[in-house]
Amino acid sequence: MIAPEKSQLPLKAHPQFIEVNDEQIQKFHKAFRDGKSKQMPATFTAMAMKGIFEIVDSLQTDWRKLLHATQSFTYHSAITSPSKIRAEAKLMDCKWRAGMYWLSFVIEVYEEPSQKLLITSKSLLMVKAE
Amino acid sequence: MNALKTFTFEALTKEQIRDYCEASGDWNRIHHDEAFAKEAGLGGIIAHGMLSMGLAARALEEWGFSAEKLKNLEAKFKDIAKPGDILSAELLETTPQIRCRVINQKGAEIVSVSATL
Repeated sequence: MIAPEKSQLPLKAHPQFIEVNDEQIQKFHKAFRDGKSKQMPATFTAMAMKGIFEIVDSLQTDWRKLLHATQSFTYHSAITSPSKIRAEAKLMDCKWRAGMYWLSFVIEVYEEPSQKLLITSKSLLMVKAE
Repeated sequence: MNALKTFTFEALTKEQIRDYCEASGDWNRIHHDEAFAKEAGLGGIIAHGMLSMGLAARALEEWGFSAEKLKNLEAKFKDIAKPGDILSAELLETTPQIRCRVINQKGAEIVSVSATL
């Protein structure tokens, strides 16, 4: 992995636009083996992590050495279906500790076109040293 | 700590992990490429940490803590879940915040989760 300089932070991914619809919601319920639920899954915006993956790739990270340490979601407003949302992912910090890089990401998810902030998620990923 | 409630999921399969790849868009090869996962020192395909967090959230729904009421949901990923694992969610506490965890059939903690309404 090529660690970013402090001056480069935050590193931003391209905005990600996601169509929210019942078909996509049901894909999550299928993965959770929950055939009866019609609810918006609490972890639906895991889809927005593609922005994190874009940044991880830009750092030439070996995906075999990448692990997810912590994840949080703060819910400001409900995601409705059908709707369109925009996710903005940023790498906020990169620390070297205990032989690993610790990458702190923030993703803000907005409703389109209202720009209402819906969810703030924080992800801590670890990359083992070469 | 004794669990207040328990919810056991059906055994994890490669197909379920692949379904989660499809839902989330996370196609990291450690989740669907056996050889790649072994090269990574993982012994084989592993489940996404986010899948275990999603299962914990599903258990919260089963226990009456609806996703639409959540203000915050946090997870710490502790261990790896693999195909064949039988995962169970345990509700540990409801105040001052909701705490639960997902364990495997050996009692190893896969993820610890806290939530506020």
